[in-house]
Amino acid sequence: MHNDGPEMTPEAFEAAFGQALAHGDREGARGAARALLAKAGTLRGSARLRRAVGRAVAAGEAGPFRRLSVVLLASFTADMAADALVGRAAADGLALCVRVAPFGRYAQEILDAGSDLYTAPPDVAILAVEGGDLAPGLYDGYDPGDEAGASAAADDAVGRLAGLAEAFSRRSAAPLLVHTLAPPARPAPGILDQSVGAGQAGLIHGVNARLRERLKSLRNVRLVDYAGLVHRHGAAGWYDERMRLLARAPIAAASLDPLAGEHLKHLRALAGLTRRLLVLDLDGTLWGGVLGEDGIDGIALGDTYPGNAFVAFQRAVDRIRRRGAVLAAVSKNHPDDVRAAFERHPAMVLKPDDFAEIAAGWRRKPDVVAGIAQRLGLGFEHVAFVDDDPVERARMRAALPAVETVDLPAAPEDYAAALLDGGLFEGGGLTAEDRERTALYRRRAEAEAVRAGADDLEAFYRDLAMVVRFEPLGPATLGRAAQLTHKTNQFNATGRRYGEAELARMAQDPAWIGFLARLDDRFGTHGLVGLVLARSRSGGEVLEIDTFLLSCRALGRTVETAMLARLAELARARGAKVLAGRIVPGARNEPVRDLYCRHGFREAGREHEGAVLWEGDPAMPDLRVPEWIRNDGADAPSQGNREGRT
Amino acid sequence: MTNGNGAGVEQTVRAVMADILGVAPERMDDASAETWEAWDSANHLRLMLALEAEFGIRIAVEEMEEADSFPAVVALVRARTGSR
Repeated sequence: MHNDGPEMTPEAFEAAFGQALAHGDREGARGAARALLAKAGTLRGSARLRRAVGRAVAAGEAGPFRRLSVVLLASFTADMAADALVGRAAADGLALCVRVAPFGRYAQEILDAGSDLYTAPPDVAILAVEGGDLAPGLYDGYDPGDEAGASAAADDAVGRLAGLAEAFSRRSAAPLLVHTLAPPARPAPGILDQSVGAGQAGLIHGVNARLRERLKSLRNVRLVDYAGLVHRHGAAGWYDERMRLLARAPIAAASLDPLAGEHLKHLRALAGLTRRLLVLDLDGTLWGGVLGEDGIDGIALGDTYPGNAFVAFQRAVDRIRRRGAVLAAVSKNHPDDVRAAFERHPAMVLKPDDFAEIAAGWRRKPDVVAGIAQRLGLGFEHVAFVDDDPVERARMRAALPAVETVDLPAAPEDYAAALLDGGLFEGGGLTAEDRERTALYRRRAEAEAVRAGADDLEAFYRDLAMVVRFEPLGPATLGRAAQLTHKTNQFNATGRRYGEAELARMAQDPAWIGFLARLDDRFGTHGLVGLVLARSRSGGEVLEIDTFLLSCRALGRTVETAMLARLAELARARGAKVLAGRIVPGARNEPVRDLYCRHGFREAGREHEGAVLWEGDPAMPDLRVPEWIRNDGADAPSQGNREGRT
Repeated sequence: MTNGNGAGVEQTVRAVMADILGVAPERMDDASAETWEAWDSANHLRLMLALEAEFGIRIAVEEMEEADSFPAVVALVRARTGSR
């Protein structure tokens, strides 16, 4: 994802794709292919990718991609469908060589034992016959008044298509994907098609049902739900009548990508590329809000929006689980809170037993996911990760590129489609063993040890392009400052709550320093996320931190270091020799407890109820803004008394 | 008139043709359906559909048949997009 700047041309993406392949960089090649398709569209991007894949395979440089040869047996001109399939497959890490059988010869190829189909057998064959080409009597020639004729046409369609599949199956063990027949966009009887006789659409659906019955005993034959695919996208827009008549290429340009996507779901399943482990974030993903801040009763999960959207997403995840996928959860939360939420929240669809592991804590997610995958004995190519936070997604991609990180859209009602349409969990078996897999994996996980993965954290921070701006505690920020003191529990050193009036007095008092931190990064703006309040003591010798807090959405990104550095700078400007701060243990503030320790402070005393006092030198080297954070427009914090009354 | 990428018609047509035909954009001025092997009937269809998608236009079948050189394709797109 580092090479997709807007200035890159399709040519440059194609070159990057070829180079990544030649260097064995599978994820780099996938990224270049994905970026090329996004930049140039299906037709243009696929034309380039089909050439590039062909070249790489010919040169023996497709190494990191799984190679798969496909024969497309179509009743229509299928070259563009083949392009789109090769293009999408490249974005998925498959090097496809697609041969399109000569136009109109799909039946001959299958029935002739000496054809290329058997002398040079492919890994997979696809039989894509348009209903109108196979059974004109059910389409253009359909006569609603001739029930016997229509019924005979249906019998004939079943016999011919099933006969082709059976003939193939006798001669080849390669998998064969057979399209079902799609009803026409405009049924011949019009609105009466649903009321009179068997109906045109009814007969065609009947053909599909009988095909299914006839073909289910053939181990290497699978049906592609072409009728459903056309229906989902709308038959009226699926076809391009002009291209059908001009070039016998009836499938509209805009339909080529969804068709390729459906084929690819099957190809991936056949190639063993189905994901087996789905690792889910919790806050903002399986429920709305932040458990550590909002509590069990405060998270969004229930009967009303947006809680019902999260319920719906949990149901979608549960359906994936029932397909045989294993679930795990990774969350920056207190384990007790997470356990309580799963056990006690009345609207929770997923139960603790549905997960092989629920990892709650403060370790970095790539480390946690690597550990889970290892304990389950699964390679990263079988793992998918879902998180609503783009920063966590970027971090996962940087650390574990082989893990499929799913981009969730902004609105929770769109989560399920984003997860399901990716086709990551297709074609896994639905056997009892699949259903037992979670329990099996859970036992295995318990038996094996943890091993952490590693990633380049600094590179990740740099890639975020963080910008921190400091804004004084003052009329414009008092409301947000008060809200932060009340809502922040996890990264809050002292847990003191203040109202706007108290904060306004501090802003006026020259003994106090108060400022907020605003965070932006390449994913957007995060707003005011941090607050520091400090007071001069001992005649200005000591600057004591009263409040130091950071919103949970900015954790783990070294923003706190930038805030401490800013405070140290102000302390030096005031001539303070000691910077003092305390950690007051709260129910949820584990993440903040090593704040001072990590930044070179030394323990200076224990106080009642477990509070610890820390002291440091404002000039010590640990108190510098990290080089990966740009510190823009640092306003002077309010010294009070500047603007009269607030 | 510019398309979504902010490039002029001629430059965008050049890029689309380069993608479809597999020829460097600089060489496109000589492009001819009659003499270029890469510009066969299958690629001609790809090209027309790609131009429709790129510019959000609809090209009539009769017009497709006439667009057999780079200047002719540019002229066709200009006529359809209403740009000069």
